[in-house]
Amino acid sequence: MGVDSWLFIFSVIDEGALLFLVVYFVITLSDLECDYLNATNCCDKLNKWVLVEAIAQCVLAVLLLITGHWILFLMYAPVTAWLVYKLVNKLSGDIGMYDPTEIHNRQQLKTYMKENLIKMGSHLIFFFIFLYWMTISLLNLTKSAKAVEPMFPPVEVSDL
Amino acid sequence: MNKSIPPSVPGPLHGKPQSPSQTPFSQSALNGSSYPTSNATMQSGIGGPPNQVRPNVQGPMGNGPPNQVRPYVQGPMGNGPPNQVRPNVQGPMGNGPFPSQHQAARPGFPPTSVPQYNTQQIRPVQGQSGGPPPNTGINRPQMGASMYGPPSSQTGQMPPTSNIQQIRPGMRPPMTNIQQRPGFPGGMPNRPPLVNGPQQPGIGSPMRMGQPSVSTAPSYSGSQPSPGPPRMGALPVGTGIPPTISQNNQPGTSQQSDGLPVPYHGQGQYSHQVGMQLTPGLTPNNSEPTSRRSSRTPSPMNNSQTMDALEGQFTSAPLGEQAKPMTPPLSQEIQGRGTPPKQPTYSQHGPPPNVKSPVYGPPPTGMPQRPGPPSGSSQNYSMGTGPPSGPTNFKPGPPTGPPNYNLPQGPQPGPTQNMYQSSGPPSGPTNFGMPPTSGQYGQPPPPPTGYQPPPTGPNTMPSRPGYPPSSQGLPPQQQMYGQTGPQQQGDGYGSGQYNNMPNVGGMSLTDDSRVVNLLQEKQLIPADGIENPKIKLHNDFKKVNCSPDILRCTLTSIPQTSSLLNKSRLPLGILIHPFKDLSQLPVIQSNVIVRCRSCRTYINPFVYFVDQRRWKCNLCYRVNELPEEFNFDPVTKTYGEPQRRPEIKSATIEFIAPSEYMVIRPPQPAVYLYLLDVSFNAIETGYLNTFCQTLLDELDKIPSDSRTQIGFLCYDCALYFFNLEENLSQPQMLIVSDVDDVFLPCPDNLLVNLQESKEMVSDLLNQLPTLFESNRETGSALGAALQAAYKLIHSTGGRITVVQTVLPTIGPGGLENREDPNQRTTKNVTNLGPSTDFYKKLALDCSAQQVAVDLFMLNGQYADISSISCISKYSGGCIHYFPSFHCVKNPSLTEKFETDLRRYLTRKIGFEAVMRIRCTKGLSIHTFHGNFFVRSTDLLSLPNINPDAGFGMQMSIEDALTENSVVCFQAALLYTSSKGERRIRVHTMCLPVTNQLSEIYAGADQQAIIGLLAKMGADRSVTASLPDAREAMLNASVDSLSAFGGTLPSSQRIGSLPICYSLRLLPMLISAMCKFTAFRFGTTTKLDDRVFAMQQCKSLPIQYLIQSIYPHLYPIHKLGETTVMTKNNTEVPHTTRLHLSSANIDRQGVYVLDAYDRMYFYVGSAVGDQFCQDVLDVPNFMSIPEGMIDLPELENPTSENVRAFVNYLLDNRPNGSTFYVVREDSKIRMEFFQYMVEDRTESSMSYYEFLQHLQKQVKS
Repeated sequence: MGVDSWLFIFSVIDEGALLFLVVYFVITLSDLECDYLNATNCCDKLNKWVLVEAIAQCVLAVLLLITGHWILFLMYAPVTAWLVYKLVNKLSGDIGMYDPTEIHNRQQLKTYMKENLIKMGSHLIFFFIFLYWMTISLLNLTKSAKAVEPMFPPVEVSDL
Repeated sequence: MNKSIPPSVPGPLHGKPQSPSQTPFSQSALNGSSYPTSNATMQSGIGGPPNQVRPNVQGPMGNGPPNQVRPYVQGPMGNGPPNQVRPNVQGPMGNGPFPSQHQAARPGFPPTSVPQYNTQQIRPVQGQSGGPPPNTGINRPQMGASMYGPPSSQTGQMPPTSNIQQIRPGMRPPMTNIQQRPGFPGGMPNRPPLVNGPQQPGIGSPMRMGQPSVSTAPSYSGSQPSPGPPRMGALPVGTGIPPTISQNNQPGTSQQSDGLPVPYHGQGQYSHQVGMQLTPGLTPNNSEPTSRRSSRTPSPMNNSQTMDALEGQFTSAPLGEQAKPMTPPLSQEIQGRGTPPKQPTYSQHGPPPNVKSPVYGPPPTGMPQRPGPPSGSSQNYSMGTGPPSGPTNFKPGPPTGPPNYNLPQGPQPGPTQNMYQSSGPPSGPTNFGMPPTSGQYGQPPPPPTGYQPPPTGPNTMPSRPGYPPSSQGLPPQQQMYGQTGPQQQGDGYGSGQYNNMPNVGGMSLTDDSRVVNLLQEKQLIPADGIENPKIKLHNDFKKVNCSPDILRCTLTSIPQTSSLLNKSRLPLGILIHPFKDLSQLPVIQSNVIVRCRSCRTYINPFVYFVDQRRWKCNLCYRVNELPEEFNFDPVTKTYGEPQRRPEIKSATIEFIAPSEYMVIRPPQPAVYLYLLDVSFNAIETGYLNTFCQTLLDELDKIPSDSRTQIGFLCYDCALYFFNLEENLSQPQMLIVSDVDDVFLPCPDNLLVNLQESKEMVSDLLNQLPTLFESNRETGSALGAALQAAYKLIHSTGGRITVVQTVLPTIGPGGLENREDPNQRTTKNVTNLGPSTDFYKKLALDCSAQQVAVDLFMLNGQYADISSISCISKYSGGCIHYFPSFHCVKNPSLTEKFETDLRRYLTRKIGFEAVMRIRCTKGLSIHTFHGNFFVRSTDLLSLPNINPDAGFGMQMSIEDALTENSVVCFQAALLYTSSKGERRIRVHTMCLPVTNQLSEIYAGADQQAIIGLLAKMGADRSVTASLPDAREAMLNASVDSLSAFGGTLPSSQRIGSLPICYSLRLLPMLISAMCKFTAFRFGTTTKLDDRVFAMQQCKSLPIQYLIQSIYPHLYPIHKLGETTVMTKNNTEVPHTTRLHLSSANIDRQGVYVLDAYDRMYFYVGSAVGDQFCQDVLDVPNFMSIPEGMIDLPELENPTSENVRAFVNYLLDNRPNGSTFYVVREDSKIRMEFFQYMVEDRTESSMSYYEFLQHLQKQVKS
């Protein structure tokens, strides 16, 4: 299998995980909205995963870059860049990205919710894009394998 | 676990001769244990001569100083399992041998700390670490696992006095993190290592106890008394002040209060009667007026006046006085009516069907109804606070009700004809629309004294307060509101207070719609302070609405839609002062608290009664059943209409909550823990003395009951705990020098019952200042101290009070200096936000455990208040800041510190509180401002609530309010009183909804808007940047000006800067805000000062915030010339307020500038010699000394008047204030002139330039 197939298999898995993560974010935030959770718990839960999310995205973006998938990279980069920007720009005194003391202020909760829904949309799209590319690359693989195949039988035949 | 140390052990120790080498140390060891200074203290406490002490000490020292038990906790640390450790710990107790030098022994210790200790001693200790030191009488067996096997045994011999234990940092067993519960069983494995020998209190304490009593007690006997006397001496100070409970009652209401017991709880409002009651007294306790609280000499007026000390204001005028003119109110209203009819909801029209006049008709017997005071006058506007029916302005007693009431009216306020009819010729309206013009100019100055009913009817116009342009030539104070004269407000309110009164003076409603050309009118502040807008509800609602001091909204007419709100360009929000000290508060104890079933709103005066059995919630519109009991009127003890219930009659009410309002556990006891900085710098400032003395004085007045607990913890780079067990003969100090991983040295007795251990606490307070007298340690481990405090207190919740004087640099939460002094004047101020999340996280932990942290910052150098303050901000605490505090160099500030502290210690307090803000469907809370943690969308978690805390909420309109004619806000505060009662205080405010832009403007509350803008600006400065925040403020004024201009015909706009009357001060206050410490540019401002000012913006109650931003300036030389205010039998000469412009400062004049936390008494250079002689007790101006901080008490009318006035001003705030006499040529005169915010400075525009700038912006 070529690099591409591995890359896309990985990206599908990674993207799937990110998708789950973002769904988890959305659920947790909506729990907070409905008062099933208090702000501290909610933010604790979320902050744990913020870094993981950023790493997962960055790794994927870097892999895309390394493997020369320019267009995919350019598509994927903005979301990643934005995530990293948010992470870097958080105020020094804040507790993680989601600060329990601020989350109810200035309608941050709504903003977060919106952000995460957007993220979810983009992950969903990318998930299918990567799925598509994975399929393509695997098909190519089999195609090329098939193309190669004829070469073997003769060998075998000759063996026989 | 090891058993406790056998008693026998001590013997051997005792017997041991001290090694010579140790002797020298022994002292130091003593000291070391407590710190070098501690010896001295201990001794002094003991009363024995030093030498004597020393022997004692030394003797033990070898093994340990007799009095001090020095356990080495370290032993345990390394050694073994936690359980084992514990024994070790105990062992260490006895160890005298390791004196102070833990640090040396500790690997990680910063070298700096070492010098203080005798290094020699240290060494031995280290050497010993492997095993017991030779000479120490160590109980091997006890040591168990401890490395320091030594000597627990000495404990037996220790004199009772102070056992000082050192806990070595390194030594700690791993377990220490585990939080210790007080009640913990000794045997639990996970218990933190206890430093104290005796872990189980039973075991350990007896040991120590017994020993002291046997051997040493006698020697110290002398010592114990010593603490006593000082205390006694001290007490009188405090006690001299009689609790003013009874005085606090308003005369008008005193009858009722007489009948009721007024328990003196430190919280006067509580009465324990069942059923509804008007608690008469207000919160008594620290009731001293500021002026008296401080060392300031009492003013003559103080003697007779009735002071509502907690509120810092005078109670309102006696009944008769208020009732006095029946006509004036009417006539004034009539004037008010003059408004163009466009405001239909204006006035009191017939009651709406649901609220029937009968409600107010027969006054319930139990509630004495105070005759309505004249509306214009200063009746005690304690709407919320007073008896429900009483205090409203508009309702004179039922029989006397204004004519219009009697007319059966449609439910909704119809057109205002009634009013007009009664009021006479409706000439008003025509006049009002007009810009201020000549009509007023001719107005003679107000009569100086006496209440003069304003002329009514046709005369209205001429007599209306005029706003003559400055060209007028009238002295400013005479210009306005002549007829209403300040004397009116005088009776109930201090200057600080009357600003907030809704209907000050003759401020008529019509003013609202007047257009003011800012470029022409210079005199914008009414002589008697800034008025509050009236809420234009119909009568029945108006009279019960919540006091604007407690709950107010930036817009008293709520826009119907968010687009309308946007169009007005004004911020929408509410400002709350929920726990304000009230002079009267209806308290209800009933089995059922009636609440809406769906939104949980408390029943309030603004609900709609569908019929006798059902009521409709005014927030969510659900129809609810009314329980049978609700028809019972607790006042008259009869069944009747639900409208007679106090809940329906008062918008501010307090319930004593039944058990279902308990949070899981029973109400917590009051727990107070004091964290005192004892580093070198702290000792230098000398605050410790003041603090201890003050606390000692107030010990009996701290709000408490039999369960109250108290504890102390000192810290520099180590933590000093104090074991205050009642059986000990002296407080025992335990030192923990491991600040990186904090643990508690003993399981209990660090927090003790105040009643039972009062002796011990007094002892400690007497000793503390000397104990650390010569401490040279400069580090401060605030973070560790807070962690330890949290561990100590988290199982109960309570209050932690921190006094900090330096930047904490050591241990967790260590900070570094982020301020570059060269950047103090630059525009882009950085580092306004916290540098670490340590304090925030800890605050959230505290908040979760119902612990609040209050900060007293006494730093002279940068101490990073922005980071440290997070601990208070998110735990519902409060922050006090005394920049450059020094008890000798800055006596005035010291006085303020003492006053503030007194107030702080004795003021009412609510524990484990939550506050929920509910509002009518369609509104939602956008942002919260204040000190608390927002637990869920509308629930604020407030581990503590104090009466000086203010909050703000910015609101947004989510859904159009088209179907509502009114909206309501309800703030419900559930808290535990210091007596362990659960109580709920509910404030409800009702406001009309409008779809008219003009009404929004007319109803705008400029002070509240400024308050909210300040809060938003403070937020903005942190999240964005300071220039951004200033820009936003500037835009706020530009936007509102241009939006308002848009509503006028263009002819009116040309060449002028029009704004409606209700917003006329907005540009001025915004320009002042840009020069306020928090937001100013250009002037050198210390980062801490700035950050603290921002913090104040967030949490000061509105009237004080406005006062800080735009201080009050009074011409003293005109004192008495103008008016005399009457307050409760006392007359205080008063004068009018001036604008803050140097143009108003006259060389011949004398002025008082009152900026809430500081006050300047400015003396012009051409002041008359007579005045100097009379008031300042110096022959002439030249001989006024620099640094004068008090007015001498002289026996002449001028002096008495001036002092009465100054004291009156001082009493208008809950806290103290610094006071400086400033000569015109004095060095600190710049401080005075920097408050002249309308002046031009190098870096900022003058007010007039600001207006021109605005005008340009508005045009473009």
